[in-house]
Amino acid sequence: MAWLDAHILTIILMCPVVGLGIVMLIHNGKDLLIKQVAAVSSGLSLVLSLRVWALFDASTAELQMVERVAWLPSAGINYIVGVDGLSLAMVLLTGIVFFTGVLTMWELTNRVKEYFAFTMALVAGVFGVFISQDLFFFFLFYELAVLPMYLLIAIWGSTRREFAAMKLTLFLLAGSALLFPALIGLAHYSGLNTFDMTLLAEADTDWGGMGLILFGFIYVGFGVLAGIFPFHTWSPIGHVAAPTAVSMLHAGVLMKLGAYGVLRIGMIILPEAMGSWAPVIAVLALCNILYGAFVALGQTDLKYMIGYSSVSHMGVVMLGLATMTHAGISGAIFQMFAHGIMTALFFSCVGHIYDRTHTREISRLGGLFHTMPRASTLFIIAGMAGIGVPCLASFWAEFLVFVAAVKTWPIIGILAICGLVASALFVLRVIQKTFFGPPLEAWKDLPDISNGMLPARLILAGTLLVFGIIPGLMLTNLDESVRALVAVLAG
Amino acid sequence: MDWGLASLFLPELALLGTALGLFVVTTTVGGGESADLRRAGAMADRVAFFGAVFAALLALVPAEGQLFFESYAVGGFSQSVKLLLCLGLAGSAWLSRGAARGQVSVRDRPEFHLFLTLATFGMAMLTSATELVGFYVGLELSAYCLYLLVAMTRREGDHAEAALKYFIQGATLSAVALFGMSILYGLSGTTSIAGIGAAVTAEPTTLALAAVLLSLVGVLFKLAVFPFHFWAPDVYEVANDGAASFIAAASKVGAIAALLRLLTLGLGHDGLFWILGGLAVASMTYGNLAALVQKDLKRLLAYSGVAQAGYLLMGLMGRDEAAWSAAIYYGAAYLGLLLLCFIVVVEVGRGREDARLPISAVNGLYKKSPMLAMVLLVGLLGLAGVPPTAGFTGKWLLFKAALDGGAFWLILVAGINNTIAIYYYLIVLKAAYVDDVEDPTPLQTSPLGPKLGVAISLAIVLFGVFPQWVMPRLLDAVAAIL
Amino acid sequence: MTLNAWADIAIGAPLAVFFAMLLGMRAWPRAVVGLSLLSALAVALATWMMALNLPEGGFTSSVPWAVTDDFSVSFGYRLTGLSTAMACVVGTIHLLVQVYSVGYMADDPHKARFFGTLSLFATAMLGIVLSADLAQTFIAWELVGLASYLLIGFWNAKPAAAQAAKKAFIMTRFGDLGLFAGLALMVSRLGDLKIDTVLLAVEANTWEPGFVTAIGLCLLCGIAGKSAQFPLHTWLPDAMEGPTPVSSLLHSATMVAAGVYLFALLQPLFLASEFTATFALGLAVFTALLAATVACVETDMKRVLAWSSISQLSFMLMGLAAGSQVAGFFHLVTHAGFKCLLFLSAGLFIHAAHTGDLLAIGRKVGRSAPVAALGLVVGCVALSGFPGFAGFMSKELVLHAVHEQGMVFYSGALLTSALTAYYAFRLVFLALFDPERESVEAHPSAALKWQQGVVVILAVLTLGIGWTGGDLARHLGASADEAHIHWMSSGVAFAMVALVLGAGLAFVDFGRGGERAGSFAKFPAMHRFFASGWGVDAFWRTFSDVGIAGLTRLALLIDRGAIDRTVDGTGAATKVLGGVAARMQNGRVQLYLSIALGLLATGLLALGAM
Repeated sequence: MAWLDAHILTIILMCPVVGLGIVMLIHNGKDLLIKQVAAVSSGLSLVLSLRVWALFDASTAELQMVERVAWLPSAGINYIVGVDGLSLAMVLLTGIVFFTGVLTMWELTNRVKEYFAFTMALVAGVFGVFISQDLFFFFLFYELAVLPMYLLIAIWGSTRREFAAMKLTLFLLAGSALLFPALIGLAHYSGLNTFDMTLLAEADTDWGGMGLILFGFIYVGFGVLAGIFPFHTWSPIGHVAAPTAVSMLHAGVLMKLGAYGVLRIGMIILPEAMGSWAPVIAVLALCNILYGAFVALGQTDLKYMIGYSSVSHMGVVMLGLATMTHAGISGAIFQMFAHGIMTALFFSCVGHIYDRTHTREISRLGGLFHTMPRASTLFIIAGMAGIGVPCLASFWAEFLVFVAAVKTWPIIGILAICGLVASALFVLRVIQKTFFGPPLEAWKDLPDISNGMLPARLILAGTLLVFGIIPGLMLTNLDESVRALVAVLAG
Repeated sequence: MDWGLASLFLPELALLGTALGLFVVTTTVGGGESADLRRAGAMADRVAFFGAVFAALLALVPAEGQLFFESYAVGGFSQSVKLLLCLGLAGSAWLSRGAARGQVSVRDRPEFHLFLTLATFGMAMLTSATELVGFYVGLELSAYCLYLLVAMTRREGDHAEAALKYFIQGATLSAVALFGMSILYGLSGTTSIAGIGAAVTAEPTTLALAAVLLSLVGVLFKLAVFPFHFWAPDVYEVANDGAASFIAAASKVGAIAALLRLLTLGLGHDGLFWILGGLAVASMTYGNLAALVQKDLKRLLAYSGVAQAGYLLMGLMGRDEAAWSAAIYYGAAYLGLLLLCFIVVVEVGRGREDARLPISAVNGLYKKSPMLAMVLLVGLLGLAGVPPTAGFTGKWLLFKAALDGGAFWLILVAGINNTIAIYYYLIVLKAAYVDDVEDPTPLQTSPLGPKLGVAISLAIVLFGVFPQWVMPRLLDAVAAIL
Repeated sequence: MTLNAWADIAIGAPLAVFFAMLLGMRAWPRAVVGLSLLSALAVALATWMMALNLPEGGFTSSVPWAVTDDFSVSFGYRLTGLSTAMACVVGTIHLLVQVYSVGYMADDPHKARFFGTLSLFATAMLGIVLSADLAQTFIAWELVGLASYLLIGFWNAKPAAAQAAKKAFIMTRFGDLGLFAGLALMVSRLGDLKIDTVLLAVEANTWEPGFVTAIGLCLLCGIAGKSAQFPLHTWLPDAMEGPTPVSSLLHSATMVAAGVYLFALLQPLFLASEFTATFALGLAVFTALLAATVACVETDMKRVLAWSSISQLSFMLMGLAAGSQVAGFFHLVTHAGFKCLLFLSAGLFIHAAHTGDLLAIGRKVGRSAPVAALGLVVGCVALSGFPGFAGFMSKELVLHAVHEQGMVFYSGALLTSALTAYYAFRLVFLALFDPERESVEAHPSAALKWQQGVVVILAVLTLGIGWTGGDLARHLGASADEAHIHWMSSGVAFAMVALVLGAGLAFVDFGRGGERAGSFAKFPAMHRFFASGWGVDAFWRTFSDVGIAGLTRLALLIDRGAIDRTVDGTGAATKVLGGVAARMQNGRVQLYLSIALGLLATGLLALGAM
C-alpha cells in the first residue's frame, strides 16, 4: 500500500497505457473482452483518483504525491508528477468521465478494438497533463491527448465527421504552434535551462517584455483548446460530429486542458504578465459568455446547442481566472470540474436520444419526456446545472466567479451576470421543444435508458448534486493552493 | 598491418566485403537461364542484407582513433552515424529484395545491391573524413551510386528522365561545392577541415564564409533543402522503392553527418547561420505547402522530407552539442520513420505495375491489414511530430536548440509549419483508417513485413519516451567534432 | 427540541420527499403522497413550534457552507418575529394545499412527481424565509424558481403549460439578475452576506448614498420579478396553466410572497434611500392599478385571481415602501389566507365545469357547488375589503401608511380599492348568479371531500385572520397600536366609499342578469387596452422577437459569416498556396538550377553585406 501511495500518480497514468497495451494484444473479434478490459482500466483509474483525493492534504499548497525522476538532464527535462489543489479536481474529473464514457459506449459494435485503444491513448494524455509538473511532459501529454481525437471523430462520428475532425485537429495544433516557442521560451529566457515548472515558478526571473509575449502565446495556444472567443468554432462542430463518449471526453475533459494550461503554466510562472493580460482575458471571457449563449440560442441542432453552451460556460472559467482573486480562481476551477461533469451528462443523454431517434434536429423532436422519462430527467438535470440552478455543482462555480468578477471588474461582471438569463433562454427553449409538448407519434415506442446503461448517467448526476450540496468538498482542497497563487499574482 | 588500426575500419571493411561478395555474385552466378538469374538475385538479396546487418553490428563496437595519415577520424560520432547508415542499408536492401515488389529487374538485382552497398560505403567515408579530398570523394561516390540506383528501375517510364535530371542537378551543385572547397584550400593552404576551420575562425573574411557556404551546397543538395531539392519529388515518385527508401532514409543520415562536419567551419559566424535559418524557413514552408496538394504517397514523402530538412537546419542554429546531438537523434528517428512508411509503400504497392503509389492505394488499410495500418499510423504521426514517438522528442530537442541559438520567431514559423504538415499526414491516415474500399479482402503481405514494422514502431516509441538511452552518448560523440 | 432542530425538520423533511421521488420512488405514487403529507404535517408543526418558542431577540445559527478568502457563504437560520410568522403562513398553507391536492390529483398518473416537486417548493420557500445569509436566500430563491418551473409545467404535454413554465422562469430570472448584481455589489464591500451583517452596515450608514440606492434598485428588480411587479409581472397570469393547487400555493404564501418577504426583511436598506423607497412605492401603486384594471375585464376565473394577486402584492409593497412593516406584512398574511381560499374554490368550480371560463362556470355550475360557492363568496368579500373581513383590516393599514406619503399615491391606491371591489363582486355575480344557469347534476366523488374540507377550513381561517393584526404586530416586535384601525377616521370613510362604488357598479353591471358585459365594454378601446394587459405582454413579446432574436441572428451571423469563414478561408488559402508551390516543380531542370543558383547568389550577397 505504501508503495502504491508513493507512485499513485504514475500508476493512474499507467492504467490507460496498460489497458491500451492489453487491448492491442486482444484479437479483433473479442469485443466484450475488450470492453471489459477498458472498463477495468477506467474503473481502476477512477478508484485510484478517489484514492488520490483521499490522500490529499488540504492544509498545504505544496505539490503532493510527487515523483521525480531525472530524464534528460542535459536538456533540462525531468519526469515530475505531483498534484496540488489546482489539479486534484481535474484528476478526479478525468477518472469519472473516462469511466462513465467507457460505460456509455458499451453498446458500440463498430471497430471496438480501435475505438478503445484510441480512447485510452487520449485519456493517458489527459491524465498526464493534469499530473505533469515538467513542461516537456506537459506538452507531450497535451499533444497525445489531442491527436487521437482526429481518428475518434473521423471514424466513429456522424455529421460531416471528416471535415470536423480535421478542423478540430488543425485548430488545436495551430495552438500548439504557439506553445512550442512559448514553453521552450520559458526554459530559455528564464536562464535556468530547465522545464521543471516548480523551479520556473519559484525563480525570481525578470521576464520583462518577453514575459508578455510568452504569456500571450500560452494564453492563445492553450486558450484555443478552452474555446476562447474568437478561436472557438472548432469546438461545436467537433462536438456535433463526435460519437457520444468522445463528446463527453472532449467537452468534459479536453477543453479543461486548455484552461488548466493557462492556469498552471501561464498564471503560475508568469504572474506579472497575467496581471497585464487580465483585462483582455476578462473581455474575451465576457464575449464567450454572452456571445456563446446567443449563438447557442440560435442553434437548431441539439448537439450544436450544447457545443455553444460549452463555449459560454468556458467563458466563466476564463473570467474567474481573470479576476485573480481567491473566490474567482476557486470558482473557475470549480466550474472546470462542474462543467466537465455536466456536459458529459448532456452528451450521454443526447447520445441516447440520437441513437434512438436518429435525429438531433430540435424541431423534429418533441414530447420525449413521456417516452423517455429517464433520459429527459437526466438531461433536464444537466440543463439546470447549465443554467446555474443551486444545489448543482455549477451553481457555486458561477456564483463565486460572478461575485468575484463584479468586485474586480464591476462593468464586465454585471454584464457577465446577464449570461445567466441568456443561458436560461437557450436551455429552457431546448427543454421545452425537445422534451415537453405532446408526445410525437414517431417516437412513441422508443426505449428509455436501460437499467444497465443507467449507472454511468447516475454517477454524473450524483456528482453534480453532491458537489452542489457540499461545495466545501471542492473548496477546501482548493483553498491553500489558490491562496498561494493569489499571493503570487498580487506580487 | 596493425590490427588495432584495422579495427577502426571494420564497418567499412564489412561493407566493402559485402560489395565484393555481390560483385562475385554478379560475375559468376548469373547466366542466361532465368532460373539462374532468380537464384543470383535471391542470393544477392541475402548477401546485401546480412552484410549490412553485420556491418551494423561492427559499428556497435566502440572505436576511437585516426587512420590514413590522420585524414580519417573514427570516434563516437562516426560510429553512431555508421550504425545508422548500415541499419538504413539493411532496411533498404530488405525493401528492395525480389520478393518485395520486383521493380528492379532480376538481371540487375546483384548490381543494384552492389551500388546500394557502395553508396553506403561512400557515406561512411564521408562521415569519417576530416579532410576535404576524402570528403569530396565520399560525397561523389555515394552520389553516383544513387544516380544509377534510380535509373535501375525496371519498367520503361519516367525514371530514366528523373535519374538524368537528378544527375544534372547533382553534378552542377557538386561542382559549386568543389569550387567552394578549392577557395577554402586557397585561403588556408590545407585540406584538413580542422585546419581550415582554424583559419576561417582566425580571419573570417567574407570570401572565406562565402566559400564555406558554397561548399555546403553539395550537402544541402543531398539533404534536399530548398532551393536544392527539386530532384527529390520526381526521384521519390518514379524510382523503385528500394532506391527511394535509401535516398529518403539512409542517405539523409549521411548528409546530416556531413553537414555537421562541414558546419564546424563557420561556427563563429552569425551571418552564415542566419542564412541557414532563412533556408530552414523556406525549406519547411515550401515543403509543407507543396505537400498539401500531393496525390502520390511517395511524392508526398519527398516534400515532407524537404520540410523536415528545414526543421533540422533550424535546430542547427543552436551551434552547440545540444544542437548537434539533437540533429543526429532526429536523423535516427527520421530514418526509422521513413523505413516504416516505405514498408507500407512496399507492402501496399505489391503487384502494382507502376513504381508510383497514389494515396488512395492505402484506402481501407485498417481492414485489409490492421497491423500495417498501425505501422503507417506510427510512421506518419512520428513524422508529424506527435508524441510519444521519437519524432516528437527530436523535434522538441531541435526546437530547443534553435531557441538557445536565439531563433525564437523561427520556432514560431516552424510550429505553424508543423500545423500545416499535420493536414497532409492526416489525409493519408484518413485514407488508411476512415475511407472504405469496395474490396476488403485482406492484403497479401510478406510474412515478416508488418512484424518488422511493428518492431521498428516500438523502437520509435521507446526511444521517443526514453531519449536518455542514447542522448548522453550522442552528446559525448558530437563534443569530439565541435 | 431546539429551534435549530425544528428548522432542520422544516427544511429537511420536504427535501427528503423530493429526493425520494427523484431517486425512484416514482414507482410507488401512493407512498410518495403519504410521505409528502407526513412531511407537510411535520413542517407545519415545526413552523408553529418555532413561532411559539421564539426567544426574545430571536435566534441565529450558522455553519460555513462555501468559504473563500474574499467572502464566505454560510448555511443557517435567522429566526425573528418576521421570519417565524412567515414560516407559519408557509407551513400552514402548504399543508392545506397538500391535503387539497390528495383529492385534486387523485387520478393523475404522475402524482408522485407532483407531490415531490410540491415538497421541493416548500423546502425552497422555507429556505428563503428561515435563511440567515442573503446568499442562502438567493439559493433558495432560485430553487423556488426551479420548483415553480417544474410545477407550472407539470402538465408539460400541453404546449401552453410548457411555454408558461419557461416564461415564468425567464421573467423571474430577469429580475434575479438585479438581485444577483445587488448581492454582488454588497459583497464587494462586505466579507459575507449574513443578514445581520448587511443590516448592521446599513444602520451604520457607512455606504455612500448612491451605492445604497444602487443596491436597493438592484434588489428591487429581483423583487419585481418574483412578486410580479410591473414590468416583470406578465408571467404570472400565464402561470395559471399549472394545476390549481400549484396556482394557489404560488399566489398565496410562496413564490410571489417571497419578493414581498425580502422587501420586509431588508426594509431598512430600502428606506435608507429615499429615492428607492419612493420609486418602490410608485411602482407598487402603478402595478396595483394596472393589474386591477385588467382583472376587471378578464374572463378566465383563475386569470382574474392572478391579476388580483399582482394587484394585492402591490398593496403589500406599498405598505412596506411607505414604511410600515406591520401593514405590509399583515396584508401578506391575510392575502395568503383568502387568496388560497379563492384559488381552491376556483379549483372546485373548474373541476366541475371542466373549463376556467367565467361565463361557462356561471352557466354550468354556479350555486350547485355549495362549498365552492361559499369559499368564493367569503374570499371575494375579504378581497374586496368588506369591513371586518381579512382584506379590509390589512388594506386599511396599508392605505393609512400610504396616505402619509402623499395624495398621488393615496388616490391611486383608493382607486385600486374601488376596482378591487368591482372585480371581486363581478366574479361573484358572474359565477354564482347567472340567470340562464343550466341545471347540472352535482356529481359528488370521494376525492372531492378532501378538497371541500380544506376549503371550509380556509373559509373559517379567512373570517378570523383579520382580527389577529395586534398579535402579529407584537410578534413582529412592534406595538399592537400599529395594527389598530381607527374606525372613525376619514381614511375608513374613503375606503368605504371606494368599496360601495366598486361593489355597486359591479351589481349594476352583473347583479341583475342582462347581457353581462360590464361597464368597461362600453369603451371598446379602453376595454381592449385593459384586456391586453396594457400591452406589456406584447412589449415583451416584441422584445423577445426583435431584441433577443435579433441578437441571436447577429451572433450567428458573426459566427458563421465572419469567424468561421475566416477560419475556413485560412485553410483554403493555405491549400491554394500549396498548389502554387507545387506548380514551381514543372520538370524543367534549367528552371530548377536557375532558382537554386540565383538564391545561392543572393545568399552570398547577403553574407557580403553582413
